This record gives sequence, C-alpha cells and structure tokens, in this order.
Amino acid sequence: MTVASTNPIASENKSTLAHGPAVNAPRTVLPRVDVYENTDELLLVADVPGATSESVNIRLDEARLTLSADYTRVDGSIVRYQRAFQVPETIDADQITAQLKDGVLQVHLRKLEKAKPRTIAVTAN
Amino acid sequence: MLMRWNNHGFGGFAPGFWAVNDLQRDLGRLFQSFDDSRTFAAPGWQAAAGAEPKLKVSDTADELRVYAEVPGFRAEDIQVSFDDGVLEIRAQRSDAAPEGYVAQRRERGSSSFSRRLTLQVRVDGEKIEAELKNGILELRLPKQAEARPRSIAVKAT
Repeated sequence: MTVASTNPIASENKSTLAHGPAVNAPRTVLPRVDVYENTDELLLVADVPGATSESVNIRLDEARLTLSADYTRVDGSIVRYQRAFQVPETIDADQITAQLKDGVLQVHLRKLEKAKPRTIAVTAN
Repeated sequence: MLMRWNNHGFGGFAPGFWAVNDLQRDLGRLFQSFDDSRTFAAPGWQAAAGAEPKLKVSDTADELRVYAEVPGFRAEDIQVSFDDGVLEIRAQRSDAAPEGYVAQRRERGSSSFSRRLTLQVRVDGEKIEAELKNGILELRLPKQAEARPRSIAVKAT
C-alpha cells in the first residue's frame, strides 16, 4: 500500500483549469501490452486509459503493426499511446480486429489457416 | 523471409514477434516491440503495484478533482472512501489470462491497488462524486465553503 499525500494548492499552478484549455503537442507514451496466444490467434491487450475509440488507429504496413490511441485530458493536453510490433508471416493481415473497453485495447491477430496446427490422421493399411 | 524464435520450446509455428531495438532484448521472447523502450527498460518501469494507479490532482477553486488511470477496471471493481480528510481508492480485478489463451508476454500492471491521499483542503465528504469513463476514474470533491477562495475588497482610505 502506498500512502501518498498531495498538496492540491501546490498542484494548482501546474494543473489549474482557470487558465482554460491548453492545446499541446501530444505526449507519446508506450502503453503496456500483454500478448496471449491460442491456436487461432494472437491477442494483444494494451492499457490505454482515457483513449476514445475514434482515436484508435491500427495500421499494418508490410509486417509492421502500429497501434495508436489518444487520450485528451480535461486540460486539453493529449496523451498519445503508441507502439509498434513486428508481425509474423503467419498472421492474416485481412482479419485483424480490435475492441476498446474500459481503457483497454484488444487486438486480435488471426493466424493464417496454414499456420494453425493440425492433426494428421494416421491410416492403417 | 521466415524468422522464427522457436528454439525455446514454443513449438513449430512460434510467432515471430521480435524486437528491432528493444533494450530488453531477449531472444526467448516471442513478442517484442519496435520502440526503443527506454521507458520500459529503465529501472522501475514496471512500477511496483503500490505505485499504481497514476493520479493527477487539480484544483478548480470550488472543488478538487482527482483523475486516476484504471484501465481494465469496471465500476464494481472500484471502491472509493473518504474519512477524516483521507481519500482512499481501492480496486481489484482478475488478472487471469483470457480463457483458452496462453500468456506470451505480460507487462500490464497489478490487478489490485490501494491508494490513499491526505487532503490539505477541507472538502465536503457527503458530496464527493466518482465517475468511471474509458478507464479513467474521475473524482470530484467539492470544497467546504471556508476552503474556497474569496475575493477581498480593497478599500481606499
């Protein structure tokens, strides 16, 4: 447990709303990502608190997957979550889907059929 | 070009996610990010559970506002209490891997936290409001009347 004390008076100079919204260049943040796998897909789970679904941008360029999402703070400053990954050839580029919920972005990267493990029937002769 | 890191027992079709310039380079990892992860690689980037969540406090003259980053927590996972000038935020959620998946890389923070803020300004505990939106918990703590700023008339003599 962390016991933190804060002095709101001291913070006023930095974050008071009285000065009105300030439009700043986005501050880029690397989101934390979990990666899961099953036989059908890879699943990326990224923490992007405050990001809106309209701001989410998922881009696949060659084998480079870029995730980006923006959180516009109440003071107008923008936090840009951004991260890039190398995607294996076993991913189906046409079947990438994503959902955003509770500040968590989930990206599903489906494997190509030929990349999935398969069971080979053994025939007796 | 086929690149595989399958020499660590992950099986024949191990996905070839790997870093180009990740400072935490570890060939055993299946999935690496492109970004130069100085932020991540710096000591303590994987913040201790106690340091979560990130908080921002602002003062709007009439109220204090606290913004806490709580991605993945639902409203029912979070408890907010206020007692004798101390604001406490507690939350807990499951950190289990999604059903049927195997974790390949885990960076996301702890599944529970507790933070206490000792306020230097008197607020009206009865009127504190909390709202969760897109993984941000926003608390509004109206100040008691005597804690609000007032303007003082200047008299000419």
